[in-house]
Amino acid sequence: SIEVHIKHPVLGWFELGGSGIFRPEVTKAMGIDVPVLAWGLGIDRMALMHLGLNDLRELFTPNIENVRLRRSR
Amino acid sequence: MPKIEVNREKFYGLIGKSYTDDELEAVLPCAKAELDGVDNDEGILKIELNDTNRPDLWSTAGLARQLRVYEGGSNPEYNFFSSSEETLDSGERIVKVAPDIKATRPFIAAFAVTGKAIDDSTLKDLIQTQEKLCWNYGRKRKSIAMGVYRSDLFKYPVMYKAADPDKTKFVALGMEKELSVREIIKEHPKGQEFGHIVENDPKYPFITDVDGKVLSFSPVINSSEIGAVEVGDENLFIELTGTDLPSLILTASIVACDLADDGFTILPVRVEYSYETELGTSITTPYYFQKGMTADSKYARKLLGSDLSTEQMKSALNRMGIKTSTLGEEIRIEVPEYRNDFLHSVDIIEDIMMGRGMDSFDPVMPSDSTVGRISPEEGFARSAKDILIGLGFQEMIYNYLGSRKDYIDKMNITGDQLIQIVNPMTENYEFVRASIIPSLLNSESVSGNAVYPHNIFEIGKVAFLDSEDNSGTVTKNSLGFFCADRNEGYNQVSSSVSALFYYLNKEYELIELDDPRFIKGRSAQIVYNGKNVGVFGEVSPQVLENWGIQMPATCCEIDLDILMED
Repeated sequence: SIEVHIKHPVLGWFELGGSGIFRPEVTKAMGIDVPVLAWGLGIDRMALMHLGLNDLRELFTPNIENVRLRRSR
Repeated sequence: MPKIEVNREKFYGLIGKSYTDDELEAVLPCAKAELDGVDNDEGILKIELNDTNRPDLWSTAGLARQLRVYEGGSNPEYNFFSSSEETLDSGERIVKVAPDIKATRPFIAAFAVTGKAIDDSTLKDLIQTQEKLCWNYGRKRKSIAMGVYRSDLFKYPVMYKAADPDKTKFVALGMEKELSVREIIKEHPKGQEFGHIVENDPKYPFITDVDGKVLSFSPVINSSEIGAVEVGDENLFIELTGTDLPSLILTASIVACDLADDGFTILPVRVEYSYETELGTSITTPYYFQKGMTADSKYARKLLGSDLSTEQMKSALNRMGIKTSTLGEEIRIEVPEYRNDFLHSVDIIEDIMMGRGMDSFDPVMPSDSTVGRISPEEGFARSAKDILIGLGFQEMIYNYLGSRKDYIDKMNITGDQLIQIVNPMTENYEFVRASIIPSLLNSESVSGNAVYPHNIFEIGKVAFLDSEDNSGTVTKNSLGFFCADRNEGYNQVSSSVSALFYYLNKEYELIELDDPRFIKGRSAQIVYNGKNVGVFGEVSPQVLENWGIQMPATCCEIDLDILMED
């Protein structure tokens, strides 16, 4: 299995996602006999960078004015 | 993931070579580790370990061992392990386990340490290892707890038994007077932290020597007399108690190997049980119980997608500290004494990958391709979003969990259909939302500073109880929109509903609504295809007051799953 990290010019390295091949014990139990790959990316962190935000909670703020003023950097 | 602090000088000494911080960062991935910080004044490196299956790496010596071997340094040989084939001589070093401890905390492993005086950085490491292993791997001491003692201060055999909580007294480490074991749970900080592990048992785990001198009350605290280890001490006794024998024995092996790497001599101790265990009634620790494993090199080539020779695979495994042999196409490994994470041959293949280095695998474009696309639900939702944005609405994103106050009390409803969480983190996240409307009202209540009108919407999931469904609940895609303005009223929201349905090409009918969230007579039920697909109207003054909203407001909620049907 592998983790994906990216290097931000200011924030440094951070984790963006994970991936891997499913263990055969898991897939065989479901009747699957071929390798199964899976991966997932963290959109939230990319959104923070894109929008110039620092705190994940800002992404989900209920404040209408904050959301109105949001724009990409 | 455990974070450890290592003394830079000692660390590089054990590895056998020095690194700059950048060089170290480049080589740490072989141990699935990251450099988390550097304290140049104290000469300390902070490292985060990301592999939960490699507790051997959570120490200065353990991590150094992996890096040393990986970089071509010496692969350690340990000569103090007993096994099913050979039992080493433990002399007078015996632990006797009484029958009454079986019900509470059945297993104990132990060994003695000698050869040189313990220095400050080794003592720090020992304490850190004990913390990390017992907290993370030992589930906060529940399945593994460790104690270190000065072996000069007691006489073998050591006795491990169950003790009466009130009649058994001793002076605990960190205290001055003698307390009963039960009192220690109440009054000692470690008792308050870990006492719950055993406090409901009729008797508590207790370790003494043959004369009754107290070593410790496991898993809580050592005795003040024997259990205080200081810099300069030369002869130590280490014991581990717990509820899972293989992980206990592995932890003992890890600690022993670390100390051996650091130059200490490890002396076996024989543990004699009064009952059967999966490894027998007498186990001399450190004990090697791990079984070998094989991997088919053809399967490895296939899974890695790389045309490696069997020799290359063996080299890669050697780089990870694993001894190998081959029989035709099969690679057989000997599991290192400090590891027990090989459950399937894929684990061997992963170590081949790590030994080769992940950078050695070139990315390859897949030769088969399939076409992906947006699901029908997402496509429909996007059409609705575009229309609402065209109508001047601002899209919002809200949480799916909320409080009883927000979802039920302020909304004027009984909330019988709401899904309640049995063990919420806080009462703020006790319920799953059954409607988007409370989220919209919450938004309005905190947005007084935004210029009016306020037109907001969200498309997201809601869930509620449904006895007809197999799971007892149902999850739906819902659209909720909300308007607050001086002149906002039924006409306005009805007009928005009309425009939305027009551009979605959906015919609908309106019937009277009786809903405590809305003003009766100024709200409606939307019917589509003969089914109830949503509600809209002026928000009731009581609800507005509950939310502290002083602007007239309307809102609408539509079930997109039903609306999507033809």
